Amino acid sequence: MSVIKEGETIPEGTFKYVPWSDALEDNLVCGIPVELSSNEWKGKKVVIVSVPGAFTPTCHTKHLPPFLEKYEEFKAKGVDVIAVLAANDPFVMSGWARFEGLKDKIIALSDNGAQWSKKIGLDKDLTANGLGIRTNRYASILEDNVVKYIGVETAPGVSVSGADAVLAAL
Amino acid sequence: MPINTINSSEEFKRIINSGKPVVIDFFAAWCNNCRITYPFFEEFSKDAPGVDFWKLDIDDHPDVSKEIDIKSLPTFIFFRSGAKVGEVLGADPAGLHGLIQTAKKATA
Repeated sequence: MSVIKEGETIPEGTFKYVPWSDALEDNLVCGIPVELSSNEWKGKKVVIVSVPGAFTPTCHTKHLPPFLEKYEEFKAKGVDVIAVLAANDPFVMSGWARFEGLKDKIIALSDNGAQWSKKIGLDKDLTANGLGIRTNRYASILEDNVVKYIGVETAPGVSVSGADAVLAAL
Repeated sequence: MPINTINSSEEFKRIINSGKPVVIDFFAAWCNNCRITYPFFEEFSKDAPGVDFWKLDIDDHPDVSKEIDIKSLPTFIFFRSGAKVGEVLGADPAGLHGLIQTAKKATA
């Protein structure tokens, strides 16, 4: 599958995730995964950040945190939804989200088996690294589910899929 | 009374509309916080005669879970005459004790 291009509409996707609630803060409750459909993004400006794995080194320390730090800047540019996406299950995504302090600012979505990312040409076989099939490292800006920006990393590290690159493209 | 499991949404409706104060434990098998809190639920229930105690597995009854809008687990709800009177979220034994005492007072 070739990588989705700017100007194309994303295929429909459903992702499981655990919605944030204050009750989750002290780990005394278990959150319940619910489904989110990309149809809910119609008419909105959405930033998607895709990482190969929750808690894995680059994703955890270099890729995701700047999106949280610069949250107000994203909001100022009219972004309605910021979502971090990975192939991990929704419980792991929820745990990672709480660890990173995302609360209700960034939603952590589970792209089961990287199936949706595969539809847009952005799954990645990391079996050799012990991770299995994962989502590639990329970031995208969607407006009404049309791709306005897509930045796919081709080398280790964070550049075109990072917070600064996305902010510059907004 | 031993704490029985609610087996259908019809049973659920019947139970909460029984006129007696009812406290229900909404749980899931995979939820560790539910497991931690359950022994307290059992223990506190012994001290509240006149209150009915039940548990409901939200994975078995997603329709009830959705109707009551259960968002996190465990959720303990005190019902009276079909209406929600009080609620406690999470592994909070002290809060649960308070809720059950409130339900007990409603039997007077």
